[in-house]
Amino acid sequence: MNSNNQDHQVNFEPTKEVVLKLSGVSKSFFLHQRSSQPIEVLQNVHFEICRGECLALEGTSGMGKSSILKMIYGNYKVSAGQILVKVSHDTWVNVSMGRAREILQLRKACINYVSQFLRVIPRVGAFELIKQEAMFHSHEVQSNAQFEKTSQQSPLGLSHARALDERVAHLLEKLNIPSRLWHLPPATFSGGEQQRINLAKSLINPKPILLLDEPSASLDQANTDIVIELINEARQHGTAILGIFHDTDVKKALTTRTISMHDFQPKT
Amino acid sequence: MILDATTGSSSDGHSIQGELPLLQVKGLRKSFGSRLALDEVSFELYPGEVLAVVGESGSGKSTLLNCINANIDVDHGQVMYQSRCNGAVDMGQISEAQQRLIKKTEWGFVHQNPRDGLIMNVSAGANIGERLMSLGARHYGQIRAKALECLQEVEIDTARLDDLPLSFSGGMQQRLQIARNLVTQPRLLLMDEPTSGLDVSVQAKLLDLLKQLAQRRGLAVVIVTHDLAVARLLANQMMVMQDGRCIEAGLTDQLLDDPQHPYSQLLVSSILQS
Amino acid sequence: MDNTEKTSDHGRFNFAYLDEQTKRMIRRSLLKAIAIPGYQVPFASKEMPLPYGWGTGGIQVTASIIGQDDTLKVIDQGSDDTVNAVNIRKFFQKTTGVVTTEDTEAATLIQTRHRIPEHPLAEGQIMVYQVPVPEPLQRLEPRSTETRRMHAMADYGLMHVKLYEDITHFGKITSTYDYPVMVDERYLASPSPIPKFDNPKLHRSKALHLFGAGREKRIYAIPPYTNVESLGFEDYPFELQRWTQACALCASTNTFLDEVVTDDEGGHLFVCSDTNHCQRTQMIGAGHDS
Repeated sequence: MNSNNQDHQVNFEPTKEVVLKLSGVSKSFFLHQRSSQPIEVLQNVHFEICRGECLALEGTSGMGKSSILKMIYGNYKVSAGQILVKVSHDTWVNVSMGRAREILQLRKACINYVSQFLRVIPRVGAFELIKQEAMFHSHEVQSNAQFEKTSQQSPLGLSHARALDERVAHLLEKLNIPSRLWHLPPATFSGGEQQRINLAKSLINPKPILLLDEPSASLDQANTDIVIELINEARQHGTAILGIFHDTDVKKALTTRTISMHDFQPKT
Repeated sequence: MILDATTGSSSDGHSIQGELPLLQVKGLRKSFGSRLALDEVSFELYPGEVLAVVGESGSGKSTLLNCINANIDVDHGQVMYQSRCNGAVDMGQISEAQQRLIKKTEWGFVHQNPRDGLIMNVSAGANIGERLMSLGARHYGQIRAKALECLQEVEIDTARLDDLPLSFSGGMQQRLQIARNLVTQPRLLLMDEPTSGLDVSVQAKLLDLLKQLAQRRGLAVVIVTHDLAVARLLANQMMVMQDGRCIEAGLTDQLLDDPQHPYSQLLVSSILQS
Repeated sequence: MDNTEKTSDHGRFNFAYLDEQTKRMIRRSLLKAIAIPGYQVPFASKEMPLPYGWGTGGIQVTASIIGQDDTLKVIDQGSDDTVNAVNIRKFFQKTTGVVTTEDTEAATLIQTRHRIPEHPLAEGQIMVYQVPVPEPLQRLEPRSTETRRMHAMADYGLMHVKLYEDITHFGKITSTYDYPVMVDERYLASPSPIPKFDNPKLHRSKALHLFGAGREKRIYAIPPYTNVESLGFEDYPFELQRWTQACALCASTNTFLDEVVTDDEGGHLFVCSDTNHCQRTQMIGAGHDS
């Protein structure tokens, strides 16, 4: 099924195109200051995700759900096994073997990650924060020459910038962020507002893989519904989603498949 | 199954450059007498990447920076740089004149103490214009206009163009130092603890500015710092040094959230929680 | 007035006071300096019978090249009859017995402090300058390790920074004497504290110009027909000094004028600094009137 056929169907069928594969993945922490005994968290994690799927990780806290997301994103090191991310129709990158540069490029091009925490940069306003995701975290690195070009405000540059501004504004409006907050740094926002900014950063620049860690944690019902709508939209556009959802309603509204963490616990 | 990095994009002919590292440091070794200050340090840096070199005092991080910038000679090792016009250049093999030219036109160096990187008794405009003048710029009006642009970019009030740096605050002096380096459109910026000694709020402003500049201009940056929060904010890659050796390197967030080496773990856990 | 009197003291000193080894050493430095126009060549400056700051460098250069058949002119601030000029002229008369003159055209060797004669120099003439500070960058960068590097790398940004600062704070370049020049498009040099009015006379001059700094122990040279360019910016170029007055004695309007105070009531007049040139102009003027 062509994932580019977007109708706003809630019952959008996932494709068969695998974009993420985990096999034999294990994670242990060696905390040298504490003791010489490693803390084993995960053992032999294996699953695949296809475009248009939303796979939910099920399990109680401490079972390593967040760790899986972090390993895929390259935030945690993989102790054993392979995490393969599809980057083109015949090319895969192994995140567990990847060098820093490769993982950075993967993050730029393939993987969006919405964590529970919004990392705030001191003086950048919410609008700018989101806009930058689309401008600088896309595939290309601007050279000085390109910077000069855009700063000279060529007609092409201007119309691109305006279109982007409109998209960001539209998204913020959809997420119920009042316009008076747009140019303020999110450090002073409420938890719910910060979470929505976090989401917006991933939604403005859709990538093949979206990792969600409790996306509705600090949100009220109305905002949760909006977020569900936006995430489903992303899935319909062909995003492969891997998520942790404690809210059962949210899980029901988004998930196409679940996987239990019980299978991946270390055997003692 | 091909395990390779995603190819560099770009439509304006820079794609070849995009795949080659801008800076390659190979096996640098430096001793001061019997003390080994740098022990086989290597890394690569691509355009647009920000690398933080962290470590405690005596770890060799400042020595590393000074060796890269050819302020001091290395005993062993290479610093390869992909220059704008002449391809790959071994900084240790070229003549001093060529070295100085590259450092003036393609590199920038920001000192910890702005007084080391500024001429304190000439105006801000003259400080920024100096590089242009030493490269042959001979039109006062144009030099002044360029200096004004640079001041704006580092968010210093343009009315201060003719003021002496002596009258600037520490944070402003530091930003002036950065402006002085930016005027020749460098591709690589080396920074030695640029925020130490500054008030916290001033630090935040400066770091934010640096981040924006690096992003906007696609600069490659090597920043030496002992402050992990600075690394977290500014750098996408990090290298931990101890006793002249690189003991762990990788993505900044990975090193801070999941450090592997005992020393890295010690360093990270020592950050005071505010 | 010409002085052709020979003195008997000549027998007590070596010709021109310096021993022959020293003269050779200085001549070697001079040759090197001429081969590298504008480059400061170190030399082993000797003890002279007058202190540093009184022209020992210039005297040593003159002493090394003066010959029996030379005609020597010595001026100080353009005048042949100031104390220093008189003393130096007498020194050379005593130690060489050469013919001395006040006439610029008649001289083969002219030692000067802080001026170049108005009358254009001819091929075969040599100017010797007394130089206090040979390093044009010294006030901007006191470390000689750094200035040597700047000269080696032809990195003269600092000099232009100084000019930039002048324009920024005063609206124009403020140097009026010892105005820095680029010699042969390569070395930055100090033309010695001559007024900037005299700088153009160095450009492609027919004469040989030798510079001696005794205290700093440096020699440099500008060979004949060398390009000498005074620094400036495209939009703030080098400018000559101008006077609104003419010389009170000879009425010339294109020479460097000194201001002379005549009484206690603020009376003053402007006269040519180059006394010999002024006298000649007056004589020519008197000749035309009659």
